[in-house]
Amino acid sequence: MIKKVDNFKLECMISQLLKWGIWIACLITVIGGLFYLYHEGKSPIEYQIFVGEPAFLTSMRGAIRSTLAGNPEALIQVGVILLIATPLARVIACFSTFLSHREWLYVPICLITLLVLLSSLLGLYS
Amino acid sequence: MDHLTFSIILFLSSLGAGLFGALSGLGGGIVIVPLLVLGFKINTQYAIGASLVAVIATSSGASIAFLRKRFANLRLGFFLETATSTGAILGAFLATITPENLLQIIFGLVLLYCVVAAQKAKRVQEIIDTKPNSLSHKLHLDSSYPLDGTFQEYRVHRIPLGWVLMFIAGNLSGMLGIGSGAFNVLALERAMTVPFRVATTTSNFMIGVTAAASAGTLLHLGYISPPIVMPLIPGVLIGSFFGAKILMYTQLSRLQLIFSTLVFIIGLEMIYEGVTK
Repeated sequence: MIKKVDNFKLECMISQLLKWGIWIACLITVIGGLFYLYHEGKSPIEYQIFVGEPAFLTSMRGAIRSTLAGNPEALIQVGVILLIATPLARVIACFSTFLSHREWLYVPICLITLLVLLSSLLGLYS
Repeated sequence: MDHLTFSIILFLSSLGAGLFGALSGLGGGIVIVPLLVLGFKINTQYAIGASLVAVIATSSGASIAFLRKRFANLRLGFFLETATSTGAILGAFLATITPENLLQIIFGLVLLYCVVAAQKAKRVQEIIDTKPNSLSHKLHLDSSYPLDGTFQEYRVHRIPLGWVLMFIAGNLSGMLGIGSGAFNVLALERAMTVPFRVATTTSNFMIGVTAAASAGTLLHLGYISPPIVMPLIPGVLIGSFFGAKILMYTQLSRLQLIFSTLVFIIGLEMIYEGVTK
């Protein structure tokens, strides 16, 4: 049969923990949301037309900075960005599992996906 | 409508959307964009960004995990993720340059297609191809899955074609804000001769990465609006969590017919909206 370490928890133990990461990200989003609604609850929504989010909401750095400055919308965005980053963390976890189990074929394959995801998250394509 | 009302209604609707997506097997993304566009009159690009985030949340849901372990071909997933993630980024760009009404029409057509494909998939007999395939072997993709108390082996065929199809599936995912599970399964099962249950679980495995690739790009382009996403996330998470639980304990084929019809109608409405804009 084939190469694979058969008991190989390809699910990558760490990735199980990452599922909790989703819920934590969700929690942050909701907390930010509650603060946001406390301030903006009464103002009307205006999302019919696309304007594009301001710069401080389009990157993790900007969002964290603004959160520390007290902006609740930015806190929501921190949670959202964490959520978007969770699949990346899973790929990293599995990449290192392939590495440590010496399944060399899948190291570069995982790496490609990892780099694609990472570059997207860092805004290299924007 | 003020933000508070909006958030509450959206939260409740997304509970329903999450539940619906899990129970119908059609995925969450395909109802969220229409919900936002048709229901709340939100700009389509914002809707796509929000939907992608929701798709990431639901696809990583804990309830899928146990099924995945036995059936999904994770190496196949990783291999094809190179296609879906790059496709998704291209798709995200396409979303930014495509006029809103055209996006709506395409979205509607895709919905119709998903429903039809899902119906077809249920009727066609599964053919398991165990002819050896050298590429499948070289890529460590030959595997087996539990069937009737034992393990049924299978091989993966037409891998280059499958890769291209998954690239296109990634495009659709990024461009329309859906999980494109239907296309993934189609490519895996029909083109690559992967057994149905392996195809669905492997597809689920890939969706999160695909959505994250396009969501990251859209984030930096300013398409992800926190107040819209905020009620959506807990809503779909909780909704799909319970939906998946219910699914484990009940047979829903008749209900799924109703769901498919609903989605079909929504598809028609999206097309109508795009055409009359």
